Amino acid sequence: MATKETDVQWPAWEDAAFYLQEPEAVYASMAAQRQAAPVFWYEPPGYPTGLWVLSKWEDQRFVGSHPELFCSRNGFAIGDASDPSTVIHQLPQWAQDKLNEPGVTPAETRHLIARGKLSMGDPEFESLILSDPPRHGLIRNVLMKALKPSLVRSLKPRIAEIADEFIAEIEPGAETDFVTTVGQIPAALMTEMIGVPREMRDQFIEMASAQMQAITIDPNRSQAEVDRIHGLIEKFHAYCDDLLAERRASGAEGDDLVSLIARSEYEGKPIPHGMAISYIHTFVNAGETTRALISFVALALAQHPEQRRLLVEQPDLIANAIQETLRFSPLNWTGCRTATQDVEIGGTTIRKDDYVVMAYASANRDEDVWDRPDEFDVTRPFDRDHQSFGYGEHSCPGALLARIDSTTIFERLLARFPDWEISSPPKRWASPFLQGMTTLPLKFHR
Amino acid sequence: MSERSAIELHHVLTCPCGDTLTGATEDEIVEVSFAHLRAKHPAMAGDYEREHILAMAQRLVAPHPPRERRGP
Repeated sequence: MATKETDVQWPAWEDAAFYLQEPEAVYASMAAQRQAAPVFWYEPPGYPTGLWVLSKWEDQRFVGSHPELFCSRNGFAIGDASDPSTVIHQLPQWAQDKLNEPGVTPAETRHLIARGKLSMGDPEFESLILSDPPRHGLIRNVLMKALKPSLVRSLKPRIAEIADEFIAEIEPGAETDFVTTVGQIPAALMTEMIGVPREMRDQFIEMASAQMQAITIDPNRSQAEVDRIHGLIEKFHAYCDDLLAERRASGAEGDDLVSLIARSEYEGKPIPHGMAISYIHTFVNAGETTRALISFVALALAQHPEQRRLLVEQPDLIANAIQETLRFSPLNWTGCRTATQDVEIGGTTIRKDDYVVMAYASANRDEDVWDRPDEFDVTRPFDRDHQSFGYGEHSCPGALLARIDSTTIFERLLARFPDWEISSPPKRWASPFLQGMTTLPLKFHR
Repeated sequence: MSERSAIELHHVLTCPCGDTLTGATEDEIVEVSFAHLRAKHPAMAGDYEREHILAMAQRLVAPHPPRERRGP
């Protein structure tokens, strides 16, 4: 669909190819819909039902702050609303069996697809992202013990050490893939925080990255690729089980996440297996999304050398540059909820059980909120937050860590290499859910 | 990039509930945050101390001219 005034095509929200266009085209498309139809009923081709797309910052804040009106249990990504016949082969047997039962509603179908893809073999798997209050708060509380602000702040010197190790490997003037070099720093930190021994680090990251791929369910994924991902996830779960058993046997006195899980209780009993795995997933995913975040910072600073120079002169602004990158290139294109009752937004009635897409990337360019929304500006004032970490109960629990991690990495990188340039075009992920890069070839200069 | 002769920073804290709080100084962000806790999360008001607030706050670019501080 296109607007008469601009003839700009509106977004194909469910289509990974839409997000692989040049960013200017993606954001122009979102802006056209945001300005003409901020609450839009969209029917993705091949999907069994339509969905609502909310493009404005204010509407998304409303949804995020009302979990009683918009629940999380019935899906969190657009792909969860796919025709189940196109994705069922990617799900574990227990989810396939339930989906094949008669009378499963569209909302229940989304729940089964979402839980199935996250859980893989474990039908008892319980995830923060699919839970609602009050249970959500109980699950989140355990995780937040491992992410206490004072603990996270105390990690800064260690982050700087790890960053220096990786940055020391960069050869000035030679092509360096940022994603697979400096980009590994967050995952390396996360493995330490989880409690994975150094010698297992690379293998652990490979196993865990399969989980990230599984999160974005893709009807076009081949059976061979599905089998490869499932195999790695099984290994990952088995390794996590071994780590937990080892910590429980040794008293679990450490500060690492696995020790914390091993000594924590949930409803008076040890943390259930499915929940323990979910906590470890959350940390692993945070490493991967922070890798994406710092890749977008590096790209933006390569494209805006005058702003990079300003950060070299005023390192106090680096935290602001991270914030601006989160606004400008959000890691989540979209996030979803399900209406628990009829609700009116912007004069439109959203019916109970309707699926609601919050287009975070659009809200971050909302002209009613941001001055010059399409400009990248490291000096942009922030007295309100972007939507890149979500809002409300489901806001990202690792947001503080991601900010400190990213800020520290660029403090170290800019001190050693004040100048860099793009040496080949970057390659971005194809996903309607998460944004990231597979390669970002740069040349660094002193 | 916006034109400004001196870039002023202020303290910004995003509460886990999603609200964004700001303060020109450390004392102000602590005061605003405690007021927010009392108003919005009274059951948790006693769980936080000054150091927790300052650990969560970021120093970001302040609007120019400075806006009135935003409370709970």
